[in-house]
Amino acid sequence: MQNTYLSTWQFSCMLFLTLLGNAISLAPAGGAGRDAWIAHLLGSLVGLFLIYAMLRIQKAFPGESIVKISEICLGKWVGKIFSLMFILLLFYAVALYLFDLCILLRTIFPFLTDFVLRPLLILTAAYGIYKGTTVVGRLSELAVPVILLFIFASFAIISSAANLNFLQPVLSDWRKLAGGAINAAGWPYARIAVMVFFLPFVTDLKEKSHLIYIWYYIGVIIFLTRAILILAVIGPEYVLLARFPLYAAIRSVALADFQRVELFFTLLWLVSGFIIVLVNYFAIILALKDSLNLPRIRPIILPVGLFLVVISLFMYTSDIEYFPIQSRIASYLYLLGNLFYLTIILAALKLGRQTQHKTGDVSPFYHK
Amino acid sequence: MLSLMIIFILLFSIIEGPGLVKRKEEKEIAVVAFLFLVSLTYGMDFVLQLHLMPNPKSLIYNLLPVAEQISAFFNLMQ
Repeated sequence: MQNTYLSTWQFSCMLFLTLLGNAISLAPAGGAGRDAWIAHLLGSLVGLFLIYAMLRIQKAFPGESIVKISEICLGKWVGKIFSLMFILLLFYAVALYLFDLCILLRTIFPFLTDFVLRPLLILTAAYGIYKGTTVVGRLSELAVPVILLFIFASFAIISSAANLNFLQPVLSDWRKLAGGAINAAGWPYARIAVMVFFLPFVTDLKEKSHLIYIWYYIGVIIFLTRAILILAVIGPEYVLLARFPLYAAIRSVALADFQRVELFFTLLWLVSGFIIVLVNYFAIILALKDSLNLPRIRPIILPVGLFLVVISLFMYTSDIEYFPIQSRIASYLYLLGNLFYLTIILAALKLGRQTQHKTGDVSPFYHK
Repeated sequence: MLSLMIIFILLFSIIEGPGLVKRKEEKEIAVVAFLFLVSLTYGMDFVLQLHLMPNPKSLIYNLLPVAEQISAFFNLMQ
């Protein structure tokens, strides 16, 4: 496949959009009530650790995929089993992202059916994957200014209706805060672990890795501001009741004689929701290629796409069934799966280094 | 559902089919055939409402009691 390189800048843009993804329209850590914004701050530490782990692992094995690295560090079969679990989590994530995005799009365009929307989204993503990593990186680079513009515009609009009394009292229940922080850590922050599949394509990682941390914290600040503003506009109870709180907050604002202001923001939901589907779908393709030792990714793009469409339609047929259950389970699954996979590889890498240091064995894989 | 499965298979046959047959990569062909077979089986199960295939969500639902206990311990609003 051609176009298989990324700059750190493009990678950071992809990470930023993956972080925002569907979480910008939903309510991560909403269960923490008035302290949701503090829960975001605490939960973001997990994402920080995951970025550190991804970079450490990649610097030890430049250009190697995480599937191969896990086989080197953990042994062939154990590595394969852990990678398989991680791939299954990716399939689950894409099914959920597709469902969420389609529900949101159908809220705005009620006459479009899932049988049209899901294949359309997956076929568009498949086209991006056919074009290669560089094109996906450029797409993210182009999407970031648009996304930022719409996010700031939405914040400016809803801030006019903000009532900061909704945020009082602060830190009234530490348990709720801790639970909210765990939820936020799992989703959206632990979901950035998917970016580990794109690190081998980054050419200037050594010199510019700080950009990744900067863009990650820009994302965290956006979530923090969003959590404060939404709480201040619609209150902690309605945050939990609303299916898409930011959408609900924008809808509640009257702007002179304009009606349906929220429709301006369709592009924001569509682009951020689409990029996260694209990134996760691409990661599945890369992971399958490496774990099955396939010479090319092209032949599996469409079969995996069809499987994703069918399985997402098969798993959930109604939002009434999906929303109350998934919002409770998904973040714990994401947290456990992503944290466990990268932490165990990092631990194996460090233990391997210590053993190597003691025995004096010089493995060709441990570069640094 | 049927038409979307046909569209995907047709697209695949046009874009990748000739190259795949020409290269005779057995592993690639096996993986592609397996993925299509699983998708078609799930698709037909969905269309005909047979409910024969296991639903992956039932695996995830097994975790619901644990998730609810964690939420209850942390007093999370639901």
